[in-house]
Amino acid sequence: MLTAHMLGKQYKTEWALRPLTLQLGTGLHGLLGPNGAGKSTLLRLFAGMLAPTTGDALLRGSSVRDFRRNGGRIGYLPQNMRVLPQFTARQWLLHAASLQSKASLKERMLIVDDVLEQVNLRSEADVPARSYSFGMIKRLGVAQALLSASDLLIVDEPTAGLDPEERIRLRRVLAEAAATRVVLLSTHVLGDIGASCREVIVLGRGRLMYHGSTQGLAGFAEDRTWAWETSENEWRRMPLDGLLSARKTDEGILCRALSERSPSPFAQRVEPTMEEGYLALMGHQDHQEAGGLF
Amino acid sequence: MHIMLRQAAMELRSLMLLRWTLLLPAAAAVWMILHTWRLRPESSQDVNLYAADTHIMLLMLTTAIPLLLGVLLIRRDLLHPSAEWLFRLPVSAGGWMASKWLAGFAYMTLYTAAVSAAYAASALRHGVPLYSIWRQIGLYALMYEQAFALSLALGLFLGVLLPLRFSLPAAFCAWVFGSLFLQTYIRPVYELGWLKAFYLQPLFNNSLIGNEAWSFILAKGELLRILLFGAIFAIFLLTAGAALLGRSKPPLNRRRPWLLTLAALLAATAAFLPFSSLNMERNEHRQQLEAAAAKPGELQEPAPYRFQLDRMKLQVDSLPEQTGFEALATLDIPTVHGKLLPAEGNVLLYRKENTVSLLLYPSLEVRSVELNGVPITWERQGDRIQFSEDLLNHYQYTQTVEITYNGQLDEWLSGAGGSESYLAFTRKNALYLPASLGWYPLPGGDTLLALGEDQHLLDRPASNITPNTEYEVVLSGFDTQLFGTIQNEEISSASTRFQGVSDSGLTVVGGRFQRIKLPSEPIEIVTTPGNADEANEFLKRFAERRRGLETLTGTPLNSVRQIFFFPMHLIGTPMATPSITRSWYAENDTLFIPQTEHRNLDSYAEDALSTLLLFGDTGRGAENARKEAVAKPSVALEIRSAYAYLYNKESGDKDPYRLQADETPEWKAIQTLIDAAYARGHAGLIHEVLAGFRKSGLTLPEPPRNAAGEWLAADAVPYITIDDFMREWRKLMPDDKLPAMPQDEGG
Repeated sequence: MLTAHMLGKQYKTEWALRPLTLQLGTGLHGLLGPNGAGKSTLLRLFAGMLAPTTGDALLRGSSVRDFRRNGGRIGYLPQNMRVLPQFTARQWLLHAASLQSKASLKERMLIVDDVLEQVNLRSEADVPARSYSFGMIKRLGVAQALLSASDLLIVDEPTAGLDPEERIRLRRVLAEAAATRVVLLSTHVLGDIGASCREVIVLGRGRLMYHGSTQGLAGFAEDRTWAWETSENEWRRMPLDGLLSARKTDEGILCRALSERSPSPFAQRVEPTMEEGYLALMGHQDHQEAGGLF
Repeated sequence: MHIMLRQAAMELRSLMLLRWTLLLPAAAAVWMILHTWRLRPESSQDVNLYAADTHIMLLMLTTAIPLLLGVLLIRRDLLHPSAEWLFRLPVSAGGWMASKWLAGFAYMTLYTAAVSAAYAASALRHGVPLYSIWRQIGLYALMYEQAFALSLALGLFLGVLLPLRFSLPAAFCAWVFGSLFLQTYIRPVYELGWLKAFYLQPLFNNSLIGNEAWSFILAKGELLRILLFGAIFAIFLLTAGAALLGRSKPPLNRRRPWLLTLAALLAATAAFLPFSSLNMERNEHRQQLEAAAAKPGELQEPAPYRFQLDRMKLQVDSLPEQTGFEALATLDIPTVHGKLLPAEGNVLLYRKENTVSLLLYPSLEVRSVELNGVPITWERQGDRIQFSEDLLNHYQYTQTVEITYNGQLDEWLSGAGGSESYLAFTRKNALYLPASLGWYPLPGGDTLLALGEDQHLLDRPASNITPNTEYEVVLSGFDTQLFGTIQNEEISSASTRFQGVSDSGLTVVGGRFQRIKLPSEPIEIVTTPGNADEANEFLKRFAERRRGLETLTGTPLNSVRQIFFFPMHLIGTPMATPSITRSWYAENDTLFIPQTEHRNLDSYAEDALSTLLLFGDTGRGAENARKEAVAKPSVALEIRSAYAYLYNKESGDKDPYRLQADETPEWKAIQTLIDAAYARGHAGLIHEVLAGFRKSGLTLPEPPRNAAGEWLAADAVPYITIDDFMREWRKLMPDDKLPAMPQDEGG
């Protein structure tokens, strides 16, 4: 169990993350928010790599900065990752494994082989990292984070730069990891969260906007999501405010929009997706801060 | 701990996998090989001497590596956010710093190992004994590792303190400062001895290094104190670095790392105290010596104050403490009607009217003084032991003075330019007791020490003159073989007796020296193990020359018993006695050759020894001796040259005996005479003429000394004109006439 109690970070007078309280259980949790929302700050606070200004994050009741207790329980994969180019993936992972447990070399090699298989890096495991592509380094990062994370796995934009096949593979790996751990996944790809996460956390401008199920997030767009089909000429004359998508069909253009009022006489309310819920939530915040009504 | 060690292993592996990092230690080894493998035949063949110089340069350059390496090892993790994930590894901040330090230190040890192996290969090639090689490796390895440990910790600290690119120039400046600037400028100029503890390169400008027999023994006390401080100061730097690393790897308790840093700082401060107190002791001791030293303007020529001494009996027992000894000196002083007799000249001057003054080194404590078996009232004033002349028995020719004294000699001095040396020292396993320092009571004189114009202490090498005095000195309890300037015999494993007549007292040296001797040559050489081969070769060569010279003179040449040949820059007054440290000199039956790379047992040493055997002086400064333009200059040097000329002519030695005056018109004339007589088959007559002059004295008078007792260049020669020479020549070859002399270009 990962808990955050009044966890906040302030730089001089600016709050990067206003104090928030959270409880995350075993499973995959998505973290959403626009750029500058405080996602990376929250992840680094959870990873114990940033000292909080207020509160603390606890894993199984002890601070994530307590290296004595939690040193080997937390795996962290930052958005951008660099490895020592002279090491091979196997060398590096064997080292990471040796820091985690007192297992014999043979056992460690089996563990490492398994992780390499999971991230599809086995065939390049003995090649120095200087020849790795961006995606391979990312996969190596995921592998080391998996090795290090017996209780908490924090991954920041793990699928960025991966091809679709690898992205799907990674989702599966994270889902497997989430069976026994708390996995916190930060991404801009809402599809990744929709596909794998049970719960989602939304941050906006350093505040906790939402923490709950993905369906709950979609609920923010309930009664405000519209869909209709229109001709191309009419579509050209339409205002684009609130328009979410426009897909050409054989009969015309199928539009979806987020709006308080019906954007077209032919528009009908439809079931919102998580992404629409997220946009509605963010639009609600912008509107509130602008002093207007949503 | 195992996590930290595994992390250290990973860090080390990361260094090794860079490949080029392995080339650098190899390059250092090659440097050592280049400077020690093949020695120039005309220079010293002591590989340890060259190795010492090479170590200085190598350590100065290689100290930059751990500094920059420390910065790079930290910057690699801190400079870019993409590497911050490394800090999530289960290694604490302290463990992080420690692992990098361990890895860097292990890597730097490759330099020590490579340089040591290269030195060992060269030393073995030059026949240096294994025990000597091990000692040298041990000493220098300690210095290297100390320098690397501290530099690496400083580099890591700077890397954390200044994680941006500025840290690299900062490390470079730290290297320049700690490896060059402190040693060459700040410490010598401001005379801040305690700064030595902060040297990153302890060999540079270290004048105590380079003597295989003594360096480590003399430097050990200071070295170990600095080592202790350096180790704890390095821990302080690492804990401070770990505390600063908390910016990237925040600790649970923010104060704890800083409290640990504070504790390490306090420990480093405490560890500094032993070295600091050593410095303070030295400074206090120096002040005491300065108080006993003659000030500029107060110096007197010592000779008129010296009185005759017939016999000196001395028993010196080493005390269990490392540097202490106790002694009983018995002096038989001749008197007439209760009055002292002048040692030189006709008049004895008194430093204090009606008072007998003996000189004893001020550090030595006098316990009792007895005169003719009766305790007497005496007083000690600086280096003087004084009692009333009225106490002397007016009806007794020989007055017996017994003095018991004790103390320790560890007479470290620092001179201008920051150079250091020992005036004297006694350790269980090494000692240097120069006769002139007054380690036994000397019969009068001026003072034993003087203050130079620059307020630095000087010894007074002329203080030891005791014409025609019989010595019997027994030194007991020292754990090393002793060598002295008077004939000695080992009376037991722990006692050595020196017995004989000496005009210049007794100088004793002890330590890891070897006595090199050959059946074919009576002269022995006392030297360091690294010089054994060269000394053997020299003796073989000199045996040939001796035969030639003895044939020439028709007499055995046995005034020299031994040669002391080893680096002597670390004894005597620091940098103020070039006449001692840079030139050979004779004391009683011993020739001192202060070894350097270019002052060795070469043909010049052969010439000096030949001159000493033939004429009783080493020929020092002879080239400047006849500088005064007089109508009839002395041809003493030309006559001396004639010996060399004849030797070369008769022996065909491939290393000719150099002529001291081979350009003067007088020499040209004498050479013409010799050649003509030789052609006539009158070699025997030439020998006879020369022998006459040699018998009447061709010795250069003792070179003058300045007021502090330092030798100046010789400025006089025995006055023998060309007319005197021709007169003697014609007694045996009356038909010869003085050839026409070409105009002397020098006037």
